[in-house]
Amino acid sequence: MKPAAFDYQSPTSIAEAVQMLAEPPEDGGDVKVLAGGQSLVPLLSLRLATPARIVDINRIPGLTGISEEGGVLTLGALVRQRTAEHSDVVARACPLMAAAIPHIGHTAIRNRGTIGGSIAHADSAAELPTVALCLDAEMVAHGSNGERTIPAAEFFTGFFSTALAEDEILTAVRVRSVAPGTGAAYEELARRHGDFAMVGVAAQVRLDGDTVTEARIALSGVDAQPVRASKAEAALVGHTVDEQTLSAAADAATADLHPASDLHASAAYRKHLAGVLIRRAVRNAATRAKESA
Amino acid sequence: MAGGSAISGLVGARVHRKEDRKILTGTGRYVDDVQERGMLHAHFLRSTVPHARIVSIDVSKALEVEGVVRIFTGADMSAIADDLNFAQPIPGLHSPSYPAIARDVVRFVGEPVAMIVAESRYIAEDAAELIEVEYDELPPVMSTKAAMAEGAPQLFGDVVPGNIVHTDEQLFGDIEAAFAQADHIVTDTLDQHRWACNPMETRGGVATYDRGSGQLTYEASTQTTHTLRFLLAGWVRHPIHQFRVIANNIGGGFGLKFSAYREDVAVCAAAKAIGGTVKWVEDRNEHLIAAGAAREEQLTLEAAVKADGQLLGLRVTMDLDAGAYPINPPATVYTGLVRTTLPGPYRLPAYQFRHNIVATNKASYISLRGPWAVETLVRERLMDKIARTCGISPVEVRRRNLITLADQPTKMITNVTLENVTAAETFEKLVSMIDFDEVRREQEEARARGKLLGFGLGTFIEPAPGTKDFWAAVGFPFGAEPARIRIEIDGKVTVFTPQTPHGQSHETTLSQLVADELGVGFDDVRVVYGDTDATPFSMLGTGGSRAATMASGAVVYGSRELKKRVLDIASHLLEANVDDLQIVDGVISVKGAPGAQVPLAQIAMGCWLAPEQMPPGTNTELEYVASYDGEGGGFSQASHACWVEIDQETGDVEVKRFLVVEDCGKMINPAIVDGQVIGGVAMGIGGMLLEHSAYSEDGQYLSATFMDYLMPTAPEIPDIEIEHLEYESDKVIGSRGVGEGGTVLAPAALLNAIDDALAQAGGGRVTTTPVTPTRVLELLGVIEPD
Repeated sequence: MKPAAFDYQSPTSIAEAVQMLAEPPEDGGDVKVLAGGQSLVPLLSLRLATPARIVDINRIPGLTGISEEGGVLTLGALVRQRTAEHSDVVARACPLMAAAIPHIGHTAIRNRGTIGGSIAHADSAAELPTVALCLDAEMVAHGSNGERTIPAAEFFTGFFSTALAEDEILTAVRVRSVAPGTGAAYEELARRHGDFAMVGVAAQVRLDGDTVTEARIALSGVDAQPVRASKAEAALVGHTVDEQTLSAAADAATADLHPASDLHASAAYRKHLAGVLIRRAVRNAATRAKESA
Repeated sequence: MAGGSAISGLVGARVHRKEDRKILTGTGRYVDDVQERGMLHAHFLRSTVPHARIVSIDVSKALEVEGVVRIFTGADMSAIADDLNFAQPIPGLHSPSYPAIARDVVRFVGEPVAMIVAESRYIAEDAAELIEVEYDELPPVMSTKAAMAEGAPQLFGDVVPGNIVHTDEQLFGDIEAAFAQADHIVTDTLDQHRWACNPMETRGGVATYDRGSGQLTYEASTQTTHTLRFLLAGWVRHPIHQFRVIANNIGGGFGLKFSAYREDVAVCAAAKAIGGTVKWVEDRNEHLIAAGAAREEQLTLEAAVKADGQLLGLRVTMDLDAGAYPINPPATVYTGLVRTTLPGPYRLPAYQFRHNIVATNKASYISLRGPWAVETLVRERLMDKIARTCGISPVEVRRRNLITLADQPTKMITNVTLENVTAAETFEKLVSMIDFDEVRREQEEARARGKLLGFGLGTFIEPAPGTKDFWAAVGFPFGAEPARIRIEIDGKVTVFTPQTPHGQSHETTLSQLVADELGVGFDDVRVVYGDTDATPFSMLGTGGSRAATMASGAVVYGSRELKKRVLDIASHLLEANVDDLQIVDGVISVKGAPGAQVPLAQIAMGCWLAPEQMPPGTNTELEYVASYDGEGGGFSQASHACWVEIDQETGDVEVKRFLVVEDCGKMINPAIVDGQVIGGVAMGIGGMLLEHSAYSEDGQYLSATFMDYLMPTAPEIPDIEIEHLEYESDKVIGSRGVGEGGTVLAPAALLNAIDDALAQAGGGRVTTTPVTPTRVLELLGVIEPD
C-alpha cells in the first residue's frame, strides 16, 4: 500500500494550476488534483490511481470562502467540510447541505475533506454530489478556455465521472439560497456510523400552508451517479405531505431504480430503503418547512 | 480461598497497567518501529486468481528497477527453504505441505507468487508491478458443499482426497435410545460466515542474519516465540541454537499470530541468503486478503428432548471451511474443541458428533479468540428453540438442564471433568438482574413505535485453561507452564515468562502476583517476555486463555521458592524462626519486633557477591525456574443478556444493552478483566453484524479494505454492564482466563435477541450470518432474498 511515484506540484494560482493540468506529463499518464485527499490518497496507496502528476491546489488563495450574495450561496472549492458544517451562512442559506455534511465520514475526515473535492470525485454514494444535484447547484470550473459554470444535472456523468475537462479545475459551487417556508432533510443509512451510505436521500420542500409548492429529491447509492427523483417531486407538488402522498412519492421514485447488489446490501434492499428514506426525508423536510414559515 | 493462598494486597486491585505508559506515549516497539542499518524491505506479489497453474513467471523487468536487491520466485525460495509442513500424527489427517512462495499452483487470491527485496517498500511495490505471471486458470472451489460435490476440482490431488482434510464421527452414550425416548425432535442449522482477527498490528517481522556469528534473529509480531523458532529453524535450515526469535510489543493477535506463516519463512530465508536484514510488514490490504480468516463453518443439529424441555441426546454435524492451506494448529484441534465443548454446562446423556474439514480456494482458516465458539452459538440458539417447542421460557429450559455446583464433580458426556463450574450460578445471577416484566413492557412500547425490541440470553463454560481430560478429549497436549524468577543484586525482581502478551496485560498481572508474594514493590518487578534467548520454553506462548491460571501459578510458585530461600537466610541473620518472618516493602522483619530487620537487598547482595559468607547450609541461588501444572485446571463461565432494537423498515439492528455476569474466579486485576470482557463482547457483536471476510462466487476477495471489512466502532457497541462472581476453588491459583469468553458467548445472546425480535413480527429465524440489514428484511418478509 505504497503509492507509485508521481510528480508533485503545488501551484499558487488558478491559472498556474490550469497550466499544470493542461500540460501532458512527459511519459504520459494522468494528472490528478489533490484537495483534501480523503479519497485520492487511499486510492494512491492502493495503486487504484497511479497519476503521473499530482497538482496540489491547497496553496491557491481565494478558494476557501463562504459567501451569500443576491440570494446565491457560493462555497469555494477548498472550503473544508467541517468549516461548512459549522457555518451559520450555510445553515441559513442551504440547510440541506448543513444536514448532509454530518453524515460525511468522521470528524477527522471532514476536517481535511473539501466541498469541491467531494463533488469533483463524484462518488455516487457520497453526500455532497447528491446535495448538489438535488439543489441544481452550479459548479464553477476554470480551464484553458477560461471560466464556465456547469449545472449539476450535466455535471455528474457516470461512475466517478464528471463533465470537468482534463484541464479544468472545480473552483466553486453555487446554490440558490432557500426561500422562507423551505425545509430540508438528509436521510441515509450506512452499515456503520460514518460509512458510505447504502442509500442516501436529499430532500428539500417548500410549503404554502400545508401544500407543497416545490419539491427537490435526490438519491445516492442507487446508481453509478446520484439520481434526481423527478417523478417523486412531481408526486408531491400540489399535495399535502401525508402518508398517502409520501408513499406515492416513494413509489414513483423507486419504480425506475435498478440499484446494484454488493457485500453491504442487495439490490432489493437498496430499492426498498430508498422508498423508506424518501418518506422519512420528505416528512422531516416538511416539518422543518413549517417551522421556518 | 480455602487452600490458603498468601496473595493479597495488589492482587485483586485495579492497579494501573505497566504497559500503558509506553503504548499510550508511542514509545512501544512494534515490528514497523524496527530500524537496522542497511535494512532491506520485502514485498510479496500475490496471486490475483483463486486457482491456477503457474505457467511462467518473468521477473526480468522488475530486476532492472533501481534499488531492487533480489527477487525470489517459488523455485528460488525452494532452493533455500523447505516447504511448510504442519502434518501431525493424527489418524486420517491429510495435511499438504506447501512452499513459502507458490511453485506450481496457486490456490487462493493472495497467495505469494514472488517476493521482492528492495531498498524501500516503495521500490519493491514498483517492481512487483513489472513481474509477469502467466496463469493457466483452474476452476475454483468456493464452498464446502462445492468441494465435497461429485467431480469437484481437487485442490491437492491425492494428497487430500475429495478435498476432505479430515472426517470423523464420535459417539457418546446411547444416541439411538435417546431419540427413541424423545417427545420432540428439535432441529437447527447455522451457516456462519468468515470473519477475521484483524489485529491493529498486522503480521510482520524483521530477520537479520549476522554474517560474523552465523546467528539468525527474527523480531516478529507473534503470540508464540518458541514454536515460531523451532518451526522456522527447520524450514529455513538453520541450526536452532543459532536462531533467536524476539517479540516486543505486539499490536494484538486474537489467535492469528499463533502459527508460523509462509511469509515468515520467506523473510528469514531471504535474510540468510542475502546476508543482511529484511523487514516485512504486512499492509492492511494484504492482511485482509491473505492472512486468513476464521469461523466459516456450517452446523446442523438435531436434539432429542422430553416434553418438559429436558435434553436427552444431540446429533451434530459440522463442515469446516479450512481454506487452502493448513496452518498451526491442525484443524482437527478446532473440530475437537467444538465437539468436546458443545454440551457445555448442560446435562446431556447421549451425543453424536460428525465433522468434515474441507479444503477450498480461500486463505487459511485461522484461530480467532475462542476458536471453538460456534459450539456455544449453536447450543444456546438450540436451547431457545427447544424452549419455544416445549412452550417454556428461555430461562426455564436452561434451568431444567444446567449442571449446578451441587451436581459436581461430574463428567461431561465428552469425558471432561466438571468441578467448581458455576455457569448455573452466573445464569441465576443474570436472571436476578433482569426485570422480565419490564422487558415485555419495553417490547410493547417499541412495537408501538414500529420497532422490534428483542431480548436474548445465553450461558457457557470456557476451557480457560481447561482440564487435562478436556485437552485429552480434544487431542491437544496440556503442558505445564514455566517461569524463571531472579532476585537481583539490589533486591529487585526480574520475571521471565514464555507468555507473549499482546493485550492481556501480563506485565501488570504477573508483577502484582510477584510483588505480593515477595513483599516487594510493584515497580520493583519487571516482566521479561518474547525473547527465546531469555525466556523458558513453552510451546504455546500466549493463547487459549491459559495465562491467568498457568503463568500466574508459575510465578507464584517461583516467588514462594525464592522467598523460602531468602527467609531461611534471614532467620539465621535475625536469629528468628522462619515462621515469624515477613517481607514488607523489601525489608525482612520479625513480626511484632520492629527493630529486628534486614533489607532484602542486603541478603541479595550477599547471595550474589559473597555466597560463601552467607549462613552455612542455606541456598543462596536467587534464580529459580518454577513450573506449574495447573492443579488439574478448570473452567471460566459466564452468562450474557442482550437487548436489540430492530427498525422494521430498514432492518437496522441496534444493540441497546448488554449485560455480562462472568466468573473467572479470583480476579488479579478487575480493570483488566473488564477490559477483556468489553473487548471480547465488542468483537462478538462486530463478528455477527458487521465483519465479513467475503469472497465472490468466482473466488475474488471482496473485503480488501476497511471500507468493506467493517470493524465495530464505538457507536455500534453499547456500554457493557459487567457483574463478577469470583467463585473461588480451593486451588492455590483460583484465577481463570477471561480473554476469549466475551467473543464466544456474545454472538449467542445477540442472535437470540435478534430471533426474539424477528419472531414478534412473524419473521424467520437467523440461519446464515452476518446479520446485515438486508438479511433482516429478508427474514421479516419485507424484501425478496437476493
